[in-house]
Amino acid sequence: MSAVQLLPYSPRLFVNREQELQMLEERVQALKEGRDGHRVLILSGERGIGKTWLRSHFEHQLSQERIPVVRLDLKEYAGKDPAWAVADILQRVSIETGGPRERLGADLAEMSRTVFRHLQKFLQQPLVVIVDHVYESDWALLPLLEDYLLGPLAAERRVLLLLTGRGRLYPWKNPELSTLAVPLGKPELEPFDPLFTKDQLKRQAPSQAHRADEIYELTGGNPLANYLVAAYSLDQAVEGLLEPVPEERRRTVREYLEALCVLRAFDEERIPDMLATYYDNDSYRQWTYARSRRVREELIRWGLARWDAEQRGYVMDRIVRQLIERYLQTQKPELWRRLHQTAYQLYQQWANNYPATRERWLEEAEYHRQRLQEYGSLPSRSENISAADRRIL
Amino acid sequence: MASSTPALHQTPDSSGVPEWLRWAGFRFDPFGPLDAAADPHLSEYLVGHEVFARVWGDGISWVFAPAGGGKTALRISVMQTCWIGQETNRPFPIPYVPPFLAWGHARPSEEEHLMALTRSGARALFLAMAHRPHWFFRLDVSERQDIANLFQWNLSGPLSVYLNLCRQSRQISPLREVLDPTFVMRDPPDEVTLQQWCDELESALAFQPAPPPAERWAHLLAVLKMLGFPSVYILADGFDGAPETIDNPMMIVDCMRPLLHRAEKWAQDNVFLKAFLPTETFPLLAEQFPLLLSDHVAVIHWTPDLLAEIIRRRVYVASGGNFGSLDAVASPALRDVETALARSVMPLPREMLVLTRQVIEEHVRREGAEGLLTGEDVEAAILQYTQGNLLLTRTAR
Repeated sequence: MSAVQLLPYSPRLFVNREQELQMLEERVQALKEGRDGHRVLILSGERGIGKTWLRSHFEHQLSQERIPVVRLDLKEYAGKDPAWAVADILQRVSIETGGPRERLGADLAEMSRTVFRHLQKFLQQPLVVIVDHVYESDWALLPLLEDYLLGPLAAERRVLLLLTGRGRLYPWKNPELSTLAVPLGKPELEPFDPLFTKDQLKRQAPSQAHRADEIYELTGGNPLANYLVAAYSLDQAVEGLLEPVPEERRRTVREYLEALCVLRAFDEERIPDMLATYYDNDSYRQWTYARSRRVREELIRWGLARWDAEQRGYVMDRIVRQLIERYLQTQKPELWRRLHQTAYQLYQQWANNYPATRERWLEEAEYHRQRLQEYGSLPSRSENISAADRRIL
Repeated sequence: MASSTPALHQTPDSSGVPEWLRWAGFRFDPFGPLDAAADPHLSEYLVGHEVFARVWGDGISWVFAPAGGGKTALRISVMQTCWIGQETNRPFPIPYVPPFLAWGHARPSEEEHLMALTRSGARALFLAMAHRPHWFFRLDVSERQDIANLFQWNLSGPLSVYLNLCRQSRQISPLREVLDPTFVMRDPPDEVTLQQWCDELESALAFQPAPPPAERWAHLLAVLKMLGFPSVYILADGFDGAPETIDNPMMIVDCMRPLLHRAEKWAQDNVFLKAFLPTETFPLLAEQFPLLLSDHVAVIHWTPDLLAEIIRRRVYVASGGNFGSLDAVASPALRDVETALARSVMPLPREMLVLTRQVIEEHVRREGAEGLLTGEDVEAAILQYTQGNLLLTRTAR
């Protein structure tokens, strides 16, 4: 068990998010009045950005207004057979909306029909359906869920659908779930500003509120990181951020993240060199592409990395990368320096070997050189970027 | 429950491409099906989302694109979206491709249009109902009779012929083959339910004489309303499919004219014309029907950026969201593969798909079914393309 305890939601500890709550309230009002408008909302953002708390606060408000809510957490179905999972979900929706408790049908199609037949009576009143951990879910589950529940629900005028999650956005077939869905945020939920960070700390970790500026500088206003850094050591804060990773994999995953955190983007070609340096073991350089891919896939699976179109590579979750790199920099500075040095050398080598993409790799090499320089760990003279290459940059 | 996604090993392809795709982490071949109707993932990797958003929804809408520019793909995608779910709470789509061959000319009257529209609508409803017999089972006797008459009057052959086809094969696929091979709907019923539907539908038939076209059209709309569909989308496509219209935008406008005169009245009754037309018709229509074209107009103009996005989107979907560019499976010597390809092709999606697949074929030919894509693969594919050796797409058009 991790020593870190995440703070459970409480209305009196909740701060900020007025804009998002106002938007939710407007949608609920439209639903109550039977007005048309966007009925599918998406709540996404980096680890710890406050999706769960905002969702909980919204649920709290709905309970005060006595608006029925069905909440489904897809995390509960991780690793389960997709058809079984959707059958179970349909069963739950049926029960919670006053439909039959059993014998919904022989297959998903029939179950879905039964649920929606009974739902029509329930929908004399508005209904809010919240689906948590959507984008972290197995892509074998989501098409079935779309066909038998979410797609038909999205067409119901008295249903507000809130999809929450982080990571890979799923390519829904249904326009109400994709093109016509409205993000809560710009387009993702944003970190707190310094004032809200201070407000948060006053409520959640009052003894550390005086450190608000220092904490904000480190976390960039990520609410979970704000709390973790205030309440725990940096090492433990990182553990807290990695809480979605099963305990038996957490240590290994953390090592991978530590090895890669200095990179602005990574891929299977870069993983072996970074692991070789991290573990101080050259055998990692012999890793096959397939083996590196398993590392990359695991980081994506836990929502800790994703493909980034701008970087043309995989990028780590912003706050996870930021805290882990700071941890290395302050607790294991020599390792941090060696990792940057490795990255610097790798990119220089690529810049020399690949003329067509030379500028891009030089730019990356320069980034690592500057990072090392900032902290007084310049690469050795032979590793410096040549004056000619500087001019390119 | 079987997935609709064809596994890579099911594709009869000796090029080595499926093996490379599997090695690279793709769940299926996203560059294979050049025919939009045959692609089960079409709706997932639609590019130009704003275009779809303009087409979708209760309103008259217009999509203008060059030949081969994705009009039919978009039309099929709208149709597939209408068929999501088990119920009748979504719009009913009538795919309308004018039957120039049956007419023998390209200047149809309103009556000819209405007849053809009714036939298309009846065909779509017949196929949909074969997949969703519960829509029929819950009707009373007179409602069932309305449905049976609709089919009897408007399908190309007698209703019993189609029902027998269904009974003998005990499945729906032969019906699709005969009536509309592009029709896609999930969850066909089991044999027993299908048999029951055939029997009950046949027994509902009253053998009344067919009314005139305008009444048959009204009858179709009444039936759809009775079934609970909130609106009807007329998805008009293929107006440039006649020898007279293929290079003559004015002729296309003339051919559509009877529909255009009706469009506003239909909209008041929740019947919405959604037209997918060649770009050249846009100025003519805008001039002659300015009110109809005042809103919901999308002109698809394929820029290199948009073409590159086609490939990225397909890569994203086929890799299960793991990566969104071929850069992820390319050597560090190669970056922004999609843009390099997009700048080398004619600005049409199909051309882009053909060239992308050629890159993989070149790679497999040179290095086998593993390994990262290289600049040499891209250069060789572009060379093949520019020398005109990729005849597939040109022949297909």
